[in-house]
Amino acid sequence: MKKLDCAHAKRLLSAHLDGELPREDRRLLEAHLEGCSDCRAGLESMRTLKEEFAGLEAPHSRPADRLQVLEAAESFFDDAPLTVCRRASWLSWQGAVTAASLAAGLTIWVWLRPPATGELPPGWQAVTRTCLLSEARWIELGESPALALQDDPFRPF
Amino acid sequence: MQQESTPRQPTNHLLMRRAAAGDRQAFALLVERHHSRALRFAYSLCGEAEAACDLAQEALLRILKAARRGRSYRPQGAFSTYLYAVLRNLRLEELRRGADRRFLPLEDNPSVQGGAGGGAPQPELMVEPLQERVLEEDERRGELWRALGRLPEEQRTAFLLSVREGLSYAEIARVCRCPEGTVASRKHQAVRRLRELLDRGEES
Repeated sequence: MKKLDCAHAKRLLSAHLDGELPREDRRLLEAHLEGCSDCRAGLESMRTLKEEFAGLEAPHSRPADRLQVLEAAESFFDDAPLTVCRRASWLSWQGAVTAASLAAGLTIWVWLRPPATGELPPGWQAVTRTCLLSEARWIELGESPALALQDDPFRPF
Repeated sequence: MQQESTPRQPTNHLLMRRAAAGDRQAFALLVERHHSRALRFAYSLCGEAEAACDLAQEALLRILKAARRGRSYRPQGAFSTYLYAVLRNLRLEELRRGADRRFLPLEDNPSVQGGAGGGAPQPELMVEPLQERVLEEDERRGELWRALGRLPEEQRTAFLLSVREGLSYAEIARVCRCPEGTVASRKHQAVRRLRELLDRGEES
C-alpha cells in the first residue's frame, strides 16, 4: 500500500481541513496521521489558526451605510432606462445581416439573369467586355491571346 | 455559501434583472442582503473600516451600473461569487493606481495595531481594555491582521475567501479566474507563511 511521507502529508493538510482532498489522498493522509504525531500536531495548529482568522471581527453593516449606497445609486435610476436586452439586440443585428444578404443576392440575380431577348445579361456583358478588353490589350503588347477575337460568339462589338 | 433562493423570496438573479430594468426596490433588497458580506470581505482586503465601507459601496454601484447597461452580469454562479470578484477587482485597481489605502498593517495604521485598542478596527468594535486578558486578545488580533497584511495579494485573497467567507476551492477559482489546483497551492502557501510569521512574532 502506498504511504505518504511527512513532507507530502503536510502539503495536504490545508486542503484536508477545508474538505477539498480527493478521496484517495484523504485516505492516505488519514492513514499517515494515525501514525504521525508531528503531522497531527501540525493539523491541530492549522485548525486553531483557521479558527482564529475566521473569528476576526469586521465592521458591522449599519443602516446608514446601506442608505448611503441607495442614495448614490439614484444617479443610475434618474435617467431613462439604459437596459438593452441582449437577446433583442442580437436578434436585430442578425436581422440586419439577413436583410442585407437578401438585398445583395437580389441585386446580383437581377444583374446576371438572362433577359427575354436572348442577349447576354448585362452582368455577363460587362464581364465579357472586361475579359476581351484585357485580351485586346495583350495583343497590343504582343502577347499571345487565349481566344481568337473575331470568332468569339460573345464578342459585344 | 449563501442560499440563492428561499421560499417566498425572490432570488438574487431575479432581483438583479429587476434592478437592471430600473426597479429601485429590487436593488435595495440586494443591498440589504449583501452589504454586510461585501463590507466584511472589503475589510479583509483593505484592513481599514472607512475604506472598506467605500469599497463595498463602490462594488454594489459598479454591479448596478453594469446591469443597467445590460452588461457583465451572467447568472452562472452565485451572486456572492460575482460580488467577491468585483470587490477584488476594485481593490486591485486601487492598488494599481497606487491609492494610499494600502492594506498593510504598518505600525502607523492605528486600526490594526496591536496593543490597547489595537486590532479593533472601528469604534463600535473597540473593547475597553480594562483587564489584561482583553489587552492580550487585542494584541493577538493585531498580530493576526499584520500577518495577513504581509501575504502576497493572491495568497491573501485565496486564504480569506476560504477561511473567512467559506467558499469552496471551485468558487474561489471562479472569483480569481484560476484553476482549482492553483487555489489549493495558494491557500497552502498562505497558511505556511502565516504560521511562520506568527511563530516569529511569538518568539520575538
